[in-house]
Amino acid sequence: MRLFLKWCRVLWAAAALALILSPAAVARAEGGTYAPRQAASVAGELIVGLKEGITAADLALPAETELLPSGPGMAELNAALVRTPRGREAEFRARLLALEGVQFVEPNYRLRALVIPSDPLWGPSGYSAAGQWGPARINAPNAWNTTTGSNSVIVAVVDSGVDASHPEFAGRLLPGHDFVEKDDVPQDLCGHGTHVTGIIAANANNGQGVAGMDWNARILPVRALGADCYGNLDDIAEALIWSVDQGARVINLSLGLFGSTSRLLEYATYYAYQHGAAIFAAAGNDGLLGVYYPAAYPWVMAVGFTNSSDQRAPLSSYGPQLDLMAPGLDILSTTPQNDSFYYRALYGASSAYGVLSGSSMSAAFASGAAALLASQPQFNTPAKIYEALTATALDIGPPGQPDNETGYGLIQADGALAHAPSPSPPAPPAPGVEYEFLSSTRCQNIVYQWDTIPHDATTFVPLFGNNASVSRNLGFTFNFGGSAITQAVISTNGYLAFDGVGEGAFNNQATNFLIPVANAGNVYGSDAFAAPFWDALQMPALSGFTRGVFAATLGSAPNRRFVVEWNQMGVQSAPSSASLTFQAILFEGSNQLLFQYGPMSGPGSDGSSATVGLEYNGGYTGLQVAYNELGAVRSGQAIRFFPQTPGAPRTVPNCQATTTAASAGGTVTFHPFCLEIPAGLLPAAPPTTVRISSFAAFPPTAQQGLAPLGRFAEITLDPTPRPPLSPAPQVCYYYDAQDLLAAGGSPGNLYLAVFDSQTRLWEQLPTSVDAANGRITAPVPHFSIFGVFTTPPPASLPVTGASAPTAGWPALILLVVILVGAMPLARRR
Amino acid sequence: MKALSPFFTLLIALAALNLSGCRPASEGLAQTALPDLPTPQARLDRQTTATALPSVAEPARTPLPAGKAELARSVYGGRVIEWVRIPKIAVFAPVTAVGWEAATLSPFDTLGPRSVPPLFGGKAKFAGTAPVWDSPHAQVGWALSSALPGDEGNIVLYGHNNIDSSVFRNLSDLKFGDEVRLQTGEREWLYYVTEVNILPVQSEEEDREVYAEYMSPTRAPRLTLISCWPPTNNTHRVIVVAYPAEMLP
Repeated sequence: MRLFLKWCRVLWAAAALALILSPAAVARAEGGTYAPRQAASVAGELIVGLKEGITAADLALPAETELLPSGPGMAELNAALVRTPRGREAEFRARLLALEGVQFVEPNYRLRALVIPSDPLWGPSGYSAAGQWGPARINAPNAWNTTTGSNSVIVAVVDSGVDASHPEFAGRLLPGHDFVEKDDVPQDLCGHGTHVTGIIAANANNGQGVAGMDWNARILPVRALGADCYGNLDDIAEALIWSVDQGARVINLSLGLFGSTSRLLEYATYYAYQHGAAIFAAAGNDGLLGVYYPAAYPWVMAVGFTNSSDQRAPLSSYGPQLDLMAPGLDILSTTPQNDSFYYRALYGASSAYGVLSGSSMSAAFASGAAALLASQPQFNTPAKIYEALTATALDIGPPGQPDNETGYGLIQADGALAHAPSPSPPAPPAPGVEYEFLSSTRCQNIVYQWDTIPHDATTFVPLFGNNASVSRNLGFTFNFGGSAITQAVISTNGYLAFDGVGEGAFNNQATNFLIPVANAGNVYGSDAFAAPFWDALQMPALSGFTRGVFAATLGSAPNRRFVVEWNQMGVQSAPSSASLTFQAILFEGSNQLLFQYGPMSGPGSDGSSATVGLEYNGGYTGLQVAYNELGAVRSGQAIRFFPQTPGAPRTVPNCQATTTAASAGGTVTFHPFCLEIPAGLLPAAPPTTVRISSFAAFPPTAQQGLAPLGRFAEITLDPTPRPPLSPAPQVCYYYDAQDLLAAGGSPGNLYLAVFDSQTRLWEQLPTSVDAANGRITAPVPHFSIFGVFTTPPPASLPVTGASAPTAGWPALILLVVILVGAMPLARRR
Repeated sequence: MKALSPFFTLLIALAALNLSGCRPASEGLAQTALPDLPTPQARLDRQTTATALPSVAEPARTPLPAGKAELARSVYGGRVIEWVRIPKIAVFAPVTAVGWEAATLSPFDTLGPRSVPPLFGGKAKFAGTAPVWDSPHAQVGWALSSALPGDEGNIVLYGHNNIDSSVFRNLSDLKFGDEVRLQTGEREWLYYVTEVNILPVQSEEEDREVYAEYMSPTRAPRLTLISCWPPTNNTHRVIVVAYPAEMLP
């Protein structure tokens, strides 16, 4: 026993010691070797990305730093350039990240032109003996039979500038910009930009020099690489934004960096892609696994380079992000006509024409081919250009496409031009209109009043059998979700569709689904519909014109309305036992919609298997009132939809309710808000009037750290009880699934706050969760506007491990050792 | 020997505190489940039901889904990520939606409503309630405030490497170009790894202010995977960044 105790103590000490020492020891031994690889960056400068709604001027910059001037492109990307003491960038990066409103901080990376300057054998060495072999290998001559390009296409060359005096560009250059020297003269002091531009677009059939891939496109020379052929990240970001703003359809980026992703580069290239530019970037010249940025981004085509035998050049970088191959070894193209460019000084490159190698050149061939494609109307988006080039590329690597070494393969300009792009769904338009709805079950200013239409042969909608639909003219033009509608397709299944009849139209859908939230991905197709009660409904047995579906246009211009009535419908799951009567009304002029529910009885009549709401904007946007929600609708309910133009002054009325209370107190429910009035707070007579008005937007929420959910209610009592309110009334709020998601899934993160109209600040109320009733409650200090907020997401990373694996049996053993070790102490007492 | 006992006690106390690194000190307390006590509010409910005012009618309500995963499915439907597959490190794991809880610092300060000072402008101060991310336990967690596949934004997944489970134990073995596949209710999405960062954790401050940048929203589509390294003591963070393999038209 004694010996066992002794061993326990030894183990005890050893375990404790190991726990304390090990992390530090390992950190010393292994730290440093795992520091991420860093690309070169500008000393004394950092790029600061800002959160939405924050501008650079809002930042409380630490001492020793200052804001550097930057252009409109950086502002568009919501980023700023900050000067820091040289050599202390890492320290200041941490300090800047700690500031409120900062989203990311990164070095101002240096991107370089991706030619092969390190090996003099591969460098410029005068005119090539092989001549201009590149265009022939990608079937450009054959492509030129189809098109030699169009001068309506703008190709931006974001590079070291262009020698504007070169005859090969006569009549082709647009006024460019110099982001290095901040002027309008993008003169090439490096030689790289002129070479790349020549590959893309040198004048052809002009009896001199070389022929570019595209003979007509206009070139936008954008200088972002300096005389040393290196460029700063902020200049390149500015150049990208500026290029698309000038209307560039194709952007060539024969430059890159490796080892560090940059959010600014990510945003700038994505912005350009979203704004209609096909982007081609050099894959890199390391000959190693690892495609350079920006080529590695999925929205940028990464182009590797081949030799004149259509083989991957050994120095062409590779990886799964590689998309295309194009010629890049010993490429003859234009160089500046003077004697003072960098490549001439470094390699003795010849003036006017010279040979360079690298993925810079192959990216230029791809950009040139893309410019040819962009001249054709069927290739009107970057995605279609990418598809044509990748789908028709010649497989030159291991069998099967794509592969790591050569991507989809060698570009075939003629094949790409002949490619028929696959039809793509239209891009999600910005919703021109948003809707809000108010329900009579909550708002006393929304009134249920059945709109009676005559039941006769003219109003009867001939729908026979289930899952049928019929088109009807509205008789006026109705604006639905930003689209002008003159017809509605009436379905037995309780909805009106507005996207026509026939194949692909949204007709006869028995299975109801979720309506997408605002601007979701186009998951369910391009539908437009208004659904008062979308479920698998059963046509009733017809008997004269008593039952069925009826529609009529009532009223006179300009205040007509189109009324559709579903009368005594059944549900398919229980055909004979349910009876549902409801109507949908479309109002001319105001473009409001009204759903009203008459007698609803039997299984399914409570909405437990129905979708209620609107879907519009090509199916990308919708407003769902309920989806398979028990009690969503009921007899005598009206739901009115109000259109609202985003950004315009609000025209949607506040939801209002009024009731009275006396000294006995009680509960005023005004879904989703409620008010608990304790007994004894209010006078016995006269009765106090309680008014509640709810709304979604309330301007003064600029207080930092607040995350409002867009749920506000103004509660007024007349006469107003004088604070302090004792016993305190309680304000409560019924949260829904969306609220919970915004609050990280936990109702405990929700809280109520009251607006202090004197300080104009929100004051957080001690909020408790009443999970059984699905609501939160808080005491009312004074009556004013109340809002619902959530605790924002944690500012730190999640816990994903312990410094020692203490969980489970190791912890248990430790505990036993401790207890046994402590036994002698207990025995002594 | 006997005189050493207090020293051992001290050692044990120090050992118990030595849970920093990848794991903030508050973590153990965050998971403390507390009994639901009847609050004064609940009593008020019972009193007032008898004297309900002639109020505006309140519709009957469907109870909200109980779990966060069900909550996410009820709102996002088939777009929710169900599985993550990383062939290189033999990961094929279910994904669950995770959110955050406002952690209570002291287990004794839990009776009655949370007392939180009002916000008077400036930085919000949540005294005693710094929120922490939920534990995904044996699964991989999808931060429910982050993006979903097909969105323009940052999809954040995280997993344990030595507590609860070791689902992301070998995340640091990923290399540039490795595949990550996400299976939603509707389709599979392919991502390629472009960045594997192994970052030393010196302080919780650094975690909060420097590394939290990786979890923040982005404007372009990307996928971020988070765990700790190495599994023996977790002195580092491992953060993997991947981009979608292709852009949808």
